[in-house]
Amino acid sequence: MKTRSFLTVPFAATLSRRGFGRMTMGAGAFLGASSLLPRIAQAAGTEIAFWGTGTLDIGNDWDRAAADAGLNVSFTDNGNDPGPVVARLVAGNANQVYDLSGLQGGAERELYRQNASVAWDTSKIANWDTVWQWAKDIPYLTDDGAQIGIPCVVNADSIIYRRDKLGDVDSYGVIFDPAMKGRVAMEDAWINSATFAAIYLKGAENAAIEEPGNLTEDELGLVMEFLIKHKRDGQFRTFWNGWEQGVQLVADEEVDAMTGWEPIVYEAQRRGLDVGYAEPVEGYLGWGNNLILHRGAVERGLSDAAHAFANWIYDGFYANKLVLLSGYVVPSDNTLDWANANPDETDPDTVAEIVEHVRQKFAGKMFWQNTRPDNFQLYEEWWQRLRNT
Amino acid sequence: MAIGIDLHGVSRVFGAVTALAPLDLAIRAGEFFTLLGSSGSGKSTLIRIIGGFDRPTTGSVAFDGSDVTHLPANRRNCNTVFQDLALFPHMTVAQNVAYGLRTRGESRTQAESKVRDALQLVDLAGFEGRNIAHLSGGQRQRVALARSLVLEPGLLLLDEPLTGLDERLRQQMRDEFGRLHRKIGATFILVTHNQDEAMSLSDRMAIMHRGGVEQVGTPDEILNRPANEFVARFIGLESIITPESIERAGTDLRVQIAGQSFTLADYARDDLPAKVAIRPDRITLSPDGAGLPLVIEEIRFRGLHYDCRLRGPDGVTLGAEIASDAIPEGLEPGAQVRADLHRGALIPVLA
Amino acid sequence: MFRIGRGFALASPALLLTLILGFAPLAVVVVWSFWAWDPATYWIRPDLSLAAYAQIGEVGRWWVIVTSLFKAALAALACLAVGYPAALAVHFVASRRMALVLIGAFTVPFFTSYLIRAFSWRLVLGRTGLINDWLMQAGIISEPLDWLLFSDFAVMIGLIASYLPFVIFPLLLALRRVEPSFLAAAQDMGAGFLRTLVTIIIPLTKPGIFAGFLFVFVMSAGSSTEVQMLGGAGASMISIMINDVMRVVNFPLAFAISTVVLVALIGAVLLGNARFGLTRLFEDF
Repeated sequence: MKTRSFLTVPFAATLSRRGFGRMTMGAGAFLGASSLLPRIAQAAGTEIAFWGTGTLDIGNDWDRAAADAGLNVSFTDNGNDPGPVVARLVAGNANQVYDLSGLQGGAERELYRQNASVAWDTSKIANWDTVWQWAKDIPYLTDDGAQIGIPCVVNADSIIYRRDKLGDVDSYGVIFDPAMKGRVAMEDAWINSATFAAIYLKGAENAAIEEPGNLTEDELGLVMEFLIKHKRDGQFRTFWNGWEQGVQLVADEEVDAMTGWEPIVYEAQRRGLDVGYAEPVEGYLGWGNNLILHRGAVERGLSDAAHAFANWIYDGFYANKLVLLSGYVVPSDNTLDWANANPDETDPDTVAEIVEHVRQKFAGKMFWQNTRPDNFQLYEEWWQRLRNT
Repeated sequence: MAIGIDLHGVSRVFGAVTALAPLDLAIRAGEFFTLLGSSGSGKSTLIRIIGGFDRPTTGSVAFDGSDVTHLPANRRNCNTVFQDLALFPHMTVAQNVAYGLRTRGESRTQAESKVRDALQLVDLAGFEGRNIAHLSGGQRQRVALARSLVLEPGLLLLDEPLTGLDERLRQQMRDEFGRLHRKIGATFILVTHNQDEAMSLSDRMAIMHRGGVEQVGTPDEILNRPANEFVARFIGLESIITPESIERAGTDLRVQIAGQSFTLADYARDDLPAKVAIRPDRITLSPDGAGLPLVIEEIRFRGLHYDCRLRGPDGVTLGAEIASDAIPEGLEPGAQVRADLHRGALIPVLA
Repeated sequence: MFRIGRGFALASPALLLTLILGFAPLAVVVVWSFWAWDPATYWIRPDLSLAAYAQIGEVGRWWVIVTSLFKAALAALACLAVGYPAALAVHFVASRRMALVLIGAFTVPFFTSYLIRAFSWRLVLGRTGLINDWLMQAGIISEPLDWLLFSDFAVMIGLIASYLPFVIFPLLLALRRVEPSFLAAAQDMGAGFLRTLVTIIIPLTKPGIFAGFLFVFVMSAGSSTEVQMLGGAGASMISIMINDVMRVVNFPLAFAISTVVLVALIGAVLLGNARFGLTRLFEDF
């Protein structure tokens, strides 16, 4: 999506190995560098460079971290592609430029074992006790007892559908139902689409799948052959990318059902469409966007500041901003407490409603998404096969 | 084979500009006809209408009596040699010359032999494979001619084709046009602003001015009986005077200038001219003797002759061309001379 | 000699810059495509390996390259088919003012971002889009046409709309070689419009045709947005495939794909130049 032309790839190769990632990741990296500049001007507070998924950004409200915790936060979008992010952290310059990452869960162990990240010391995070236990139990947050990632926001994805056309939908079966041919879509990413299909096959067809987020070679073959068959049958209108495209697909009646992100449902409802988000009997696809502490931050003596930042994330202000912005939830009791204590700065009822909704999703059947499954190279190969069908 | 052309009430208006006022003109089959005029006179507009590249606003064009007013250029039996020659740069000489033949659907072998003949006709035998860009100006000129002539048109239009050439080549090509015209026998129409070209080539010519025809006639008629002062000046008769009196004397005219009487021979018209022009080449100067008493105003050496400007007592000015060996000694500006007019020096200017 | 030497001296900084900016990175890409991925360092190491090229032969990657180049060529031809008459109209028919308006009409869409431009086609070609709306209102169809959007057809429309000006401008440049008198002369010798077009105008504008083709071809071959936004499920293109590969940081494969494409493109340029004389575009005869 970011790479306009393959010619940008050769061009990137002019730079040194460390500079490489910087170019290919596009403008974000440059903006990151330039956003470091204001930090010089701000004498008070400790500088913290946060490299995260775009949805974690709260814009000007980062100023609040300076007031609350003495932290001058500069946020840079990391593009949310785990491969390049990992490569830049391990082999590129990201560890020198940024202090911590906010990344869709899955790459934590790899980063830790490659010495790109260090474990958190949860005793330095006063709010750690307020973090919900099931969020702490996200499978890839620990390695041999070390806390290599901590949950920043969570949500669970399922199916966006037109209630006015389909009534209530409670199964991924709607995506693969031949009657829906040409009227459904999935995301143009194996991280989501392969996992959704695996959840469906495991739940609805009793396929022998252990962990839908981390498929073995055989399981992957089964899942992808299933997707390939449906693609060949013309089941999918398209595979979509990006927020606007997702909204447009639903709003302009291009599809009646598609797998996707919950914020699209809210946006469609805002536009007066009768759109629902399914509670699938096969289970939700849950994901956590987790904070990772860079080794570089510790080497620069910013370990305490990074922990203070993590603590601030759980304070409640950030969580309230994000809930109202995207419906994503910081898994901490403080979210609701802060809302109730600061009704003039937030909307306690709405926040309570969304937090409860997300909590409910995780209370039921769900499977964790993993952005770096063990066989990720094979996923890519299968995805090419799917494309070329 | 040669085509006769009849123009009836032909005019051309571009928006608010009248490029051509309604005119009638007949060009005879096989004649070498010249449209002579300065730029803006309408001669190019007229030839574009004859060629079929433009339609007249009013009037009709007939080739050999049949109306072709609305026939486009590609369907008229007529070809044009353009001012910039318009040789196709991506084709060889032979391909250029064969273009029209191939368009007509003639076979390659037939076209080849005709191209060879046409190139021979314009003295370019053996130039078939040459690149257009590598030819000299004169050679390009000949290719353009061959390209038109190979189609054996009944009418050949030459739209100022000599404009870009130097004087020597111009003379050469002029002779070439004459030779080809005699050889081919088609009707030729030449557009030019050069009166020497017109005079030396034309059977008949039309003097054009401001979108109209001032006079049509043979070069001799135009030279000796210019229809009006404009024509007279245009063909180089700059010294035009109003005599004190003009009277008939048998078939001649008796013309009184500065108190002296001169004869204008063989005047056949009923009406008398108001003015006369004096040919600069029919004057002799002498320090004293017969002729008009004049003062030399200016004198310039031109090689074979001197150009003299002379002024009379009543403000009349005359131009005279005096052969280098016939100039009296001691003539310089300010000097008094006598200018004697020979037979044929006086040309009647009718209007 | 003096003049040539001076011209070269003037051009040499530009030449040097072109070499550094253009060829050095290409050379690096080519070299690195023969190296191997090192899982220990997350980078590549100088182990001569053809593994990346072998991977191109797998899972239909080579087919993506072939179809991408084919689609790009088709888009370029389509742009020429649309752009050539437009350029002719601008050059021969339109008044100066009208020509300016026409050129503006071709250029103005470029003031918006390419993302918005591609996206807006979804609103035109979609099920509830303008075209289906019209067709249904006119009673020509009763159900919206699905193939208008999310299809190769839509991709082609997107590519043509995106890159049309890139054929118009070289064509206009080339058309300066066609003197109005050439057309008059051809007509004079009996040629109608079609014959003049085929024997005079097209041969003389060949360099412009090729340059326009090349621009659109190269840019279409490198496009991803149009395919992603307008193509069917999982529709691919070279740059989408490279993106997929970069997502799993398989650098040698990404470089190998780039190398193959580069070789194909450079081949096309050299072949075209030999055949159509690109350099003549800037020649005044």
